[in-house]
Amino acid sequence: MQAGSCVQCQSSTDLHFVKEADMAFVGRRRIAQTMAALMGALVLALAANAGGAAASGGGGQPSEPTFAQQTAGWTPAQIAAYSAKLQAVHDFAKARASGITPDICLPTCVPPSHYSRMTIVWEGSADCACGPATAVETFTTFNYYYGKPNPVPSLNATITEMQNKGWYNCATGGTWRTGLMYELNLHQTANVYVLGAIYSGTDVYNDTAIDIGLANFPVTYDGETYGKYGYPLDNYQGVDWGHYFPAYGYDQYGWVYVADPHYAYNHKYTGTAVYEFIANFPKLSPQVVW
Amino acid sequence: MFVLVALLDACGQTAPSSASPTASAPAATASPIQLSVQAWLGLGPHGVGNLGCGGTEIAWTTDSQPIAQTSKNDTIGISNQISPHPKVLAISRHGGTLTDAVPISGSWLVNLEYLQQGQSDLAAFWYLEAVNWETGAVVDLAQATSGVGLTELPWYDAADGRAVWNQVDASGKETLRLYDFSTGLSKTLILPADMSPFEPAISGSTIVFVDNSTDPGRSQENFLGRHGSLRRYDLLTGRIDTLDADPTAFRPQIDNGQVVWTAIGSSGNTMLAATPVVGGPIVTIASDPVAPQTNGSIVVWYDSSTLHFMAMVFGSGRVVQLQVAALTDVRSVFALCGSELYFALPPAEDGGNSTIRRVDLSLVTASI
Repeated sequence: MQAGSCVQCQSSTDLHFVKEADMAFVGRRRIAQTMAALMGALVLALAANAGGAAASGGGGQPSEPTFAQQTAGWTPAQIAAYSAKLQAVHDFAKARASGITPDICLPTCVPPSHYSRMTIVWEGSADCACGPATAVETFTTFNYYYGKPNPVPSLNATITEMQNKGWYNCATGGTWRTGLMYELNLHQTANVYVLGAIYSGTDVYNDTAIDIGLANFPVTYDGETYGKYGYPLDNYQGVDWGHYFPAYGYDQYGWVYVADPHYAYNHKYTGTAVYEFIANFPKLSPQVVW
Repeated sequence: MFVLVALLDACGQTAPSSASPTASAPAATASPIQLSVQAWLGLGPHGVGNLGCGGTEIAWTTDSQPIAQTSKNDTIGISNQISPHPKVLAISRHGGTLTDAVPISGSWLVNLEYLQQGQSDLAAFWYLEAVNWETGAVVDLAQATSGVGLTELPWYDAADGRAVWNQVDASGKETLRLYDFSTGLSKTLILPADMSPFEPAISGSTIVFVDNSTDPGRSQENFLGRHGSLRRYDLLTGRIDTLDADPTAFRPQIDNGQVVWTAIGSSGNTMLAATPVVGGPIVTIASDPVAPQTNGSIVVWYDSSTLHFMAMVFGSGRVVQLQVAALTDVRSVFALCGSELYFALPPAEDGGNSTIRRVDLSLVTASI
């Protein structure tokens, strides 16, 4: 839909970033170290943290894949990297709960705040879906920190690709959450995206801080602006709208920073607000794509 | 008829801005005021998407199914403030949601039914209608089921015998439409060709709206995120004035001679601003406001930093935090109805149910 105009909707507005070169290095080093330390499997923990097993599909979309389905075809290195990330989140959460601040070192230190570089892709009134726009925004971050061979697909190309693969359909259900996960894994290899179960705003914050703070991996959120938690997002008061956006940063005060394809400026939400936005959608269990 | 002639005479010329309003310093903050809360109406395990009021009536949007199973509101309820006997006023007729605003003017309530197209910023359809809560009569005000009209959900308001909304015409141009409940006639207001009106609000014979044509980022925005300069339209004379030329205004509200709106400050934060409807200095009241509302003597909003309602009595220059019972976070759907504030917490924060509660703000007005 309006495919010819989509390229015009991409802006070159760059969001904040801090010490990006250092962080990219730290991210790679930290994961490599932890991989070595954690090769002794965390299969149960992996399954417990990966969402999808208990949920049914919604909005005409296929059912969420089980953890086994998500990880089918993963290499041992990928499983190890994901295990390392889970361990890092666990340690980070434990340290925060004990009051350690501002630097939490696992032993690599998670900076108290960090803002990855991301190019905002405005969905605009001429485009159709926030899911593909979210994917393209995320690719810009990978392209910046991890470089080629990950050229950023255009919004047009992403829409077409996701549509052809059945991951997105503007007229029916929008973007399938798992489809976004598949799309993110299609154009970069630095992070293996999964559906990560969340149970609170703290989970949202911790998952976001670990992915962005240690490795500049954007985290994406998929939810609904109205539901049992009311209207948790101040930008969407009074509107019942399904939506996606990626996070590119976080700070020590509990905020996560998002690049909303609907807005011409970056915005911050509390982890709790994002959790409630995600949990407002009654047909899927609360998850982040991280 | 008089109004129509006056509009045509105006030919959409923009009158000079009422001086160049000077922004004043932010208001000072006073000590919190403790307010007791009264349960007004229990709705059970159903959400409240919006509250509206007019005269002695309160209306709300809600769902026929428990909110744990759905997030789509398909029902509008209404009740008298003093003697609550709720009744269903409207239900979804097209399979969309009725979440949006429910302004009341006299015996008429205006509502919007719409359906999002997938997860896009387009609507699959929308219908704007007015329902008479005394007779059940329905007036179809506007709709879009195909074409360019689906790119924008209308923003709308109703008061003092009229409804006003913005709507994309067949050529893709934004227009302001007006419906008069007493005559049953609707019309398009004549505005300068380069204006792009959004988010109208009405009180008496005055409409305020956001003119998105001044927003440098307008080509990249959708209807949810538009900003612009704040204009005033006088229905009696057709005169258009600029209340605030700054191109970041959005979501204006107007009542009893006061206009309040949200703007984006130089730091990127949202700011609450106000000015008399006749024009004059712009008062910057507070930062991070959510859904500010005014009755002309007080402005009330939810502060996303303190998690409390805040208020300022016009002329006092002081902002006060409202401590509602012992609530630590009062984020909710709310409506300022005269001197009372009605609100409904999200069910997930209220034991799985919705209860519409109210607090009397007379104490606030008297104590500031």
